[in-house]
Amino acid sequence: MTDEIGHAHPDELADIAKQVVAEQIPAILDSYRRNPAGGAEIEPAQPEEIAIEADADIAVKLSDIFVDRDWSDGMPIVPPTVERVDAMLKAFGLKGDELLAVLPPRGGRATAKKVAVCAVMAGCDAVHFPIVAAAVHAIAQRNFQLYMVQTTAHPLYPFILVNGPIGKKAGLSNGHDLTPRGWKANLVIARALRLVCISTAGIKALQASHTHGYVGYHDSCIRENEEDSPWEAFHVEKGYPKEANVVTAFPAEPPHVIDDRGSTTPQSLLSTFAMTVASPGNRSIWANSEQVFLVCPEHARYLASQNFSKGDIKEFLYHVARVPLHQFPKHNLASLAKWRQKIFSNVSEHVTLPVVRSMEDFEVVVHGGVGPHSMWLAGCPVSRGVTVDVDKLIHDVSRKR
Amino acid sequence: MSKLRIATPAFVPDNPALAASFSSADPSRLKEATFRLGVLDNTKPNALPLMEKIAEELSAKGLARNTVTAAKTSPKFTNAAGVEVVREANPAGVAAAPALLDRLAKETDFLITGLGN
Repeated sequence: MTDEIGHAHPDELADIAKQVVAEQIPAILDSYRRNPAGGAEIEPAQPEEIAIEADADIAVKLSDIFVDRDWSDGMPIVPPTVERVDAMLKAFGLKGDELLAVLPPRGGRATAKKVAVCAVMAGCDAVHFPIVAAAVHAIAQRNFQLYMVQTTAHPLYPFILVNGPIGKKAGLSNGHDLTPRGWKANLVIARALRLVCISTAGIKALQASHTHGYVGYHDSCIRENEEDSPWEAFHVEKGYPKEANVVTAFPAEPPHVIDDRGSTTPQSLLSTFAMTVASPGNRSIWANSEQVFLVCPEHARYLASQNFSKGDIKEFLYHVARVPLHQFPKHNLASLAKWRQKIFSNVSEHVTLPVVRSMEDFEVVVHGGVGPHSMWLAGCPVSRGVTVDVDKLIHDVSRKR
Repeated sequence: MSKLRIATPAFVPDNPALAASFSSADPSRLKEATFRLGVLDNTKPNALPLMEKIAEELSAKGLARNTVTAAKTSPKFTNAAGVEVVREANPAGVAAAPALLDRLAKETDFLITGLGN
């Protein structure tokens, strides 16, 4: 057994190494040396289209075929008939060959057609397609670091925020009634993005690397509750007009509830926020990442009534959300000091570490319905949320064709 | 019974040549009884210690005649026999730089690397 979490015992590593050299490497070498064409078999190209008999069991049969070929997530699918996919593309004047993104880790081409196929499979209507397309485009941008999000053991997934009129038009819930009943638009958009991330990106069923898989990804698309927000909407804060249709993808951990039903000052309420995120288990302490707060309307209204703007909230959290070194478990602190020796060795235990390195790493979004429950999503080191103008994207890709 | 035409979300590589290179290799590189071994450290705590043990085993068995070790973002090549591996950051989830991969392809015949910890 290991003496240090995350560090295998040298004897354990030696045993694994012996096994790899005795069994796996000879098999790999043999495979290359036996094949005069050179190397292991090249993965055959997969079909762009298949034909299936239109009987009463088609939905079940097709779902099984798609799972077997690593084209689906295991849940039943809506058959992506050529007609359904073409109709979705036609609704936006697209042919299908427009490139929306190239997806890591294998460099899969996410064309408009591939994205429409996934959208149909997930149960999307045409009105949902631009949101899915914008989300695909957003996660493929450099700042999002999808390569890391798709391949790290850190449980992360794209969390989609929708702002502007398109959210309501698409039928997205702004939080109230989102669970436990579920809400079609939120579920199918999130699932469509997930299908793109696995099938079109080329990830096979056994290649998932996250320690806990993608817990909760089916609920990972929301629209901001702009109606009940006392502040400017998220996209307006980022410089977009209020009427713009905007999709933001955050690389996020599953959300965590922040419950406060007793504070009588804004500082007290925000201290509850700060103390929730300021813990040794928050990865951002070690490696800076965005922290997104989904502030419930009750908390938001109270803070605004006390003249707290979003900027005030971020500033307060930046100064207060810190972890004193003495609160770190002893051996975990030793590991931190080893990892960043120059910074954390030989310093007073009263030194505090900020959760983020800049107050702009805190994001504030109003979301949800009745109740004193806000939520918090921790982000991914190196990565950042990416915002995309939906209408501009669809316009641009259709013109580039 | 009529058949329905079903479109698929199947993976299509943006760079087919690159995708093919993941599953093919020049067999002449491995014709000889020994090969030049590469170790690409993904910077996770267990990866390099494990791969160094694999390298030791391969050398002891007379399979690897030389070992080259590099970290994902390191501009420097070091020898597993002793020279320190440069670590600029923790780039475990970030792809190795193309220039580094090019150099490893030229200077090694068989490369091992880590996925996760």
